[in-house]
Amino acid sequence: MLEKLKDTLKKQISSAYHTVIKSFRSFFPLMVVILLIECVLFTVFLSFTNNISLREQQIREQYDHHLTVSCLTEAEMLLLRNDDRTVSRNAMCFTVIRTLRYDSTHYDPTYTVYIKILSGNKNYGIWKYFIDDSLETNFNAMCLRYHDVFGTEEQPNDHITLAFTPLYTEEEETDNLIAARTFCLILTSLLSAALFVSFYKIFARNKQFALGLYATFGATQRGICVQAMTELLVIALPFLIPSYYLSSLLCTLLYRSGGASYRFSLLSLPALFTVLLCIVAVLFFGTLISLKFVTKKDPMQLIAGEDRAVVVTPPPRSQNLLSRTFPIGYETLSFWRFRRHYISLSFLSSLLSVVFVAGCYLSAAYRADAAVRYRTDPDFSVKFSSVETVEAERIALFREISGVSNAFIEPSKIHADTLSVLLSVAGENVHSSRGLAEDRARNTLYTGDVSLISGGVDLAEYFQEFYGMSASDAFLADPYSILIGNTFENRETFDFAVGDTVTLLIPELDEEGKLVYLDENAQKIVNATGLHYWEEAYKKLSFRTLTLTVAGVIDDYPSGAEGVPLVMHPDVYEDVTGATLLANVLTVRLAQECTVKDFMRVEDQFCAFAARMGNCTVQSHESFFENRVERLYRYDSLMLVISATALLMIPLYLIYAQGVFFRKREREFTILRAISAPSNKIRGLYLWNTLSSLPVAALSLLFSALLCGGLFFFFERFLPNTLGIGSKIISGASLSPLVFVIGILISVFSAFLSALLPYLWYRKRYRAEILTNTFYSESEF
Amino acid sequence: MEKPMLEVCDLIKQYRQSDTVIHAVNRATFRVEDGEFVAIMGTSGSGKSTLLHLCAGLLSPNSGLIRIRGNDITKMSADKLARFRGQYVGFIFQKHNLIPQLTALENITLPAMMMKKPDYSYEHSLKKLTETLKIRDRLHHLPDALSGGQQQRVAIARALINRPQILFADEPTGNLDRKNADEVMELLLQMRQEMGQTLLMVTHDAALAARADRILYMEDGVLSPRPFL
Repeated sequence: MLEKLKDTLKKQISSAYHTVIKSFRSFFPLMVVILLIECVLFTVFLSFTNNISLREQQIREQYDHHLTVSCLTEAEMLLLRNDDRTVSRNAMCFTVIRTLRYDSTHYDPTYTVYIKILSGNKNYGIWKYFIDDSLETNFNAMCLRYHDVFGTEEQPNDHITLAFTPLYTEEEETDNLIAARTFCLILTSLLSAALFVSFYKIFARNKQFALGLYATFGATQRGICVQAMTELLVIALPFLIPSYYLSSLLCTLLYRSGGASYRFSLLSLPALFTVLLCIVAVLFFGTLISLKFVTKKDPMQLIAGEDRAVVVTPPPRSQNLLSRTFPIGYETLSFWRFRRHYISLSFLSSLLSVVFVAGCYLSAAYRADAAVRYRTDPDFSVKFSSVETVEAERIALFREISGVSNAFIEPSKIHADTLSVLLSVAGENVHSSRGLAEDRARNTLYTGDVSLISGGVDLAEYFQEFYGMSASDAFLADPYSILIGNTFENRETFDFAVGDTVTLLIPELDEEGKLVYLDENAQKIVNATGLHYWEEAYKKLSFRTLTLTVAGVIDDYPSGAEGVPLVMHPDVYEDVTGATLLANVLTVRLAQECTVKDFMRVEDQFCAFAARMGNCTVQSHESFFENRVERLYRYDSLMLVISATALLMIPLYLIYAQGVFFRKREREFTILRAISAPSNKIRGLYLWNTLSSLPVAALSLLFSALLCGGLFFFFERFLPNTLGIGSKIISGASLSPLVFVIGILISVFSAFLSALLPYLWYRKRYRAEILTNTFYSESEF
Repeated sequence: MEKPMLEVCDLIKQYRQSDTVIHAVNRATFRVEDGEFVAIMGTSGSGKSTLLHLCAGLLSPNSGLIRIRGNDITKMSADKLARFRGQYVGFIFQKHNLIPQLTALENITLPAMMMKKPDYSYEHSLKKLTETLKIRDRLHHLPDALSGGQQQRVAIARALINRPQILFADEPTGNLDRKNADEVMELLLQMRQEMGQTLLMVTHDAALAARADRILYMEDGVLSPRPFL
């Protein structure tokens, strides 16, 4: 049986090979498409794999510990350091790499301990889920054993700080990268399959006469599909290695240009295997769907339908040709009759344009995201025990350390009860009313989604530094002035200017702290949220009002789910919210060129200061390392590669589709010649088709604009915080108009070329003998 | 002496295939008078269709002379020949060759559109043709919605719409059954009689050929007024 299978396989492959060689010209467009798809799949796989190895390399080079424990007392430090003397080797779950001591004149010295958690046998792949010997298990065991140091979940030890390094989160992040790689490969494969269906449908329709004959003489649909798959695999398999090398070269250029390294490997079996799997899936679905369209017809329909392979839509009545001009009137009629062909041309080229534009947009978004994250995510936080311990001289010490770019007091954002406070804005200050409730009588719109922030000069400088706010002297002078954001739910909603006023509606509470209703009979507002609650509250509750003046406008604040940012003076803040402020966290950012070694040096110095000052703890954030590593990932370049491939597909598809279309119409043009159409009029038929590229491009542009609008709406509403892109980026990322110009030019030029080339081929081939042929052989095209 | 409608002299058409030269038409010489019905018979592959295509100006000969109404078509440019065909020549293909996206009516009026004649000049002949050929109720259908016989009738109507002076027919009933073939042939001859056209027809059918004024015989590219043994 094995011999029989082997023999069948051999015959199948041999037959497929000979078919491909014999009909090389007709398979050529498919070869190009398959090569491009393989290159894109390899590029996606190799770049993600390189990201994983880049990250691993960076971590190994820069971190030798999983955990930093700061502000320990001597006793606590000794307890941890002597672990290897007090427990047996088998029970050890961590080891202390080094210890630092910080002396203080007024306080006891504190210690920082760098710990490497042991992970036992490192389990790879799926086995790690079954044999639990992970870092987390050993960390928990360590915390349990030294609960006097680390505290418990119910009673944490507040005076120490734990900070995990990327070495600890490496596995999780690697898993995330692998998941992201898998997701991108699946998405790319789906897009590729959709594209391949379009190409293969043209190919299959061109062969429907032959397919009809095969079916007549016994070929089953399954057999036809298997033969088709084999032919495509005969093309795809030899292209795997060249695509791999082309993609490797491309990745090398992409990473080196971004200052990152690319680890080239002569042959990567995982890459080959994965891409092979993807391309087989793409080809399988491509042939199955395309052939389904064609072979669902009866064999005779396929054979007799040869002349209708260009998909004519039957008219309800005849046109009076005698009143039409030739070729313009004649060909315009043909446009209408072949509208399905032209619509599918427009649709697919629009879809490819959308992928092109979306890829460019995502590329810009990733670049902006990297720049902004670097800008806004703090590298350190120094938490003081109380507001009183925050003094300008202390803050200055941190700012003066070499490598520190800036240090600000972290704004306190308190959400409690934000649904109760309503912000009322005059109609002329509202740019878009979506999501806002309306009071038509007063020409105002209002929202309860407000983020009240208390701050002073430090905060004003913070917003000036990071959010493009202009100088706000008025904010400092007038306690009833505010800084306010223009965005709401991540879109531009307001149009504030300095000097505008807003009204804060603060609900009145009775002696028991309950809301006061206007009317005793008013139904209580229960189970209502968001817009519905605000509308009910506005009508039923008793408010006291507070008029505030805009002293500064924050344009770029990532409002997200936090509501409209409204920064007010601490006294006014306490009056409005009744809360006591804690503006006691200093956030610190390092200069962009700092390395991890600089980071550790600064961390040591911070800890030394903190020890001398007492009553403050230093927290380092992984964002420093993560932001720097992620900038090496080159996601923006990967998006550009996908964009460029989509752009390249537009002329390829148009020329192929139109080439086959005009090839089918050659008989028609020759008949027209036979019944006295002069050659210049036939030329005019082609010329009119090249001019038709303009409305086709216009139609494609319309489709693209509609699809892009929908896509950007989707990005804006649902993408924030997925795909690793922050919320502010989506509205902040801008797309150069050049992208649209290039897209339009390519579409128009491709449509033009797609009619010109068939004309040139026709002119070479014109023979009256074509009339006497009963069917075309495959070598004709 | 009146000029013949068609005059062919020493016509040669060769095809080269690798090292072999195939003489599709080998020094054919004949004349067809005005209003005459001439049939050309021969075995399959004898070159009769090629001869017909040469006479209609659809193929270029390697050498020889073809005159229609005294006009040497071998010396005409392609465009001039196309205009000439539109004015004086009608052609009926064996495989009808209708334009697939045009209805029957549009296919029929296509040659008239090429000649840019006003529609009122064709109304009468269009009506007459479609009634005579019994395709009036199928005028708004695409070719693939018509039967073989109907398609051939549409092709005949198309060939006759411009009232050509000479009509070339390449096995017009070759793809039809006996009943349809007889019917189509009757209609063709009836139209020919009414319009007074010259008809040169290629056929396998001896019965059809017997209705011609004269029969020419072709074998291996050679034309003869007598049958080959």
